[in-house]
Amino acid sequence: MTVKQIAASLLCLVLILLGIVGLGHITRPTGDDVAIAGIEAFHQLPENSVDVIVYGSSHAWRNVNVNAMYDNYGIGAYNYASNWQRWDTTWLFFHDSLRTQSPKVVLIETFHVNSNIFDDDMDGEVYYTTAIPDSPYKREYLDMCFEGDIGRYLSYYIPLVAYHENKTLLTADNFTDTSNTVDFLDTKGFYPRDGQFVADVKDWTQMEKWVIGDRSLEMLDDIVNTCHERGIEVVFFTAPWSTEEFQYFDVMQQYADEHGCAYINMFEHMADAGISEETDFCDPHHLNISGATKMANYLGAYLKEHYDLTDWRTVPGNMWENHA
Amino acid sequence: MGTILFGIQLYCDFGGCTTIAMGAARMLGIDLIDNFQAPYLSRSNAEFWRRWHISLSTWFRDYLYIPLGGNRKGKGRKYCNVLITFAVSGLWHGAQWNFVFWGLLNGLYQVIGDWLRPVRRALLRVTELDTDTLGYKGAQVFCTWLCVNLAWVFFRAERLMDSFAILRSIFTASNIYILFDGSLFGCGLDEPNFLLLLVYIAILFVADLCKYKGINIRQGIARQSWLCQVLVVAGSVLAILLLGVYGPGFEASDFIYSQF
Repeated sequence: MTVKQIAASLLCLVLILLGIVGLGHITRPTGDDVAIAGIEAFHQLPENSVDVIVYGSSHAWRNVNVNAMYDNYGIGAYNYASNWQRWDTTWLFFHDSLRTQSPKVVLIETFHVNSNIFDDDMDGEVYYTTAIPDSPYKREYLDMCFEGDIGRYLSYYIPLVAYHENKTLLTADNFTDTSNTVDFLDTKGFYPRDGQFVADVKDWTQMEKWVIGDRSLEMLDDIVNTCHERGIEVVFFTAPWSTEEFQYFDVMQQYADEHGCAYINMFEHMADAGISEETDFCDPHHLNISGATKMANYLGAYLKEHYDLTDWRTVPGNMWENHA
Repeated sequence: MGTILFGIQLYCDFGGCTTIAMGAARMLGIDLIDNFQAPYLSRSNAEFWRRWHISLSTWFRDYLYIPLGGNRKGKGRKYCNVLITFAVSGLWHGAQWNFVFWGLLNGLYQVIGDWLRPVRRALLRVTELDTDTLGYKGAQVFCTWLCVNLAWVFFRAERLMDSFAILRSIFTASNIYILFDGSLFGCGLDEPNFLLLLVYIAILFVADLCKYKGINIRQGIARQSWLCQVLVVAGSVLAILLLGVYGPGFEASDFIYSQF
């Protein structure tokens, strides 16, 4: 081959690689941009700067306004939850967070405690974990999700493989760097959504009682054991919703009692928290900002009462004091 | 609509795989026979089978039709040999009556075409129709394409009786308006993907037209500047990656000709 042919081949290769990256970005599921921004914001925090971390699905992410915990109780908390998040993804977020943070208390939401992503085909949820740095836990998580399927690994690391079918669903957002508009460093991970929805929260004592499967229990045990080894207190909680009528309340209460953890069933404490079905929901599953603030206040009061936490309001220059 | 699109799917499926094989072989310095020479632009059924799956067609011609006597034993024997050859070709695709019927039907097309040749010539003489016009050639291409697609019904159907049911529904359809009221987009492809499909078919048509006219697109690109060639190659690879069907949910076993 001549020099010109080699140069042409290299240029061709570079163009193809750039095209793969560019087209992969364009065809990405833009709904994940918000989650990715949340993950990236967490990783911008100074190390060991947070006392309380909230984990879980959107039932945590959109339902716990952690800045309210600071305002009323001085609690330095971060909401490291995300959309749709199944239990194995929560497990991944938990272990990822401990690489850079040493919280005193973890607040773990339980809506998806018995759902695991490896039961489903790859979807947007797995894609947003691309923002989580590599680690043995991430490799184990991907192994659980993909079960050795090379095609699914390729789809994960080369988004164009997974999302080229989105070519007919493109919107203006696809051509931006990110469609996220939330400043997660300001909200401390909380994803605020406003609006009004009149919810119909069912009597949780009448709901069908479900059990937790073995795989989820393994991950629950792993989380709890890790926390105990590191002296981290564990508080499980369930946020209220108004659709599905299944519940893990009893089994979670039992698990918490048996493992030295706390469990807060917010279905039971809605009235105590002042959460109104009429005014504090923005959709059947999520609280609006008012509701999320009340939820955070209730949880914050519990944390303040039961755990020895720094009052960050007395620490000048802390990262919560100038929140919007 | 299903019949038409199946014909295109079959061509892309089979023609595409042989093109990939040709490209892979050429990378190793081996030139393989081009198995498809714009078959849907054929002006007769006989021409179609000289342009479709050429390797198999020539094999049947060389090892069955000619040993049977070919066209050297008179017209009757010739027609018999044609029907036998096509029937066996149908059997080659599968030991099912619908494949045999499909083969026989294609053979019948050729027999009727040959038998009616004097009639056609007489008609052309009487009407003084110019056979060298685009309209006449287009009509021939259309009729051939129609006959081939009707035969594909037997190729695609699970059983022979299903083929007749499909043909009956084609010719007794009274709800033609469903082609235009959006119902089409609920049959598997949504509107944007259906429009993309039309673009792909147009590109395929242009490529086949070039092949039919003897225009070698690859050589045409090779004559351009190196930068142009780089852009064409990179663009083609990216187009395949963006527009192709692969990844999660794709089953390689969906490739039609793998069963043969």
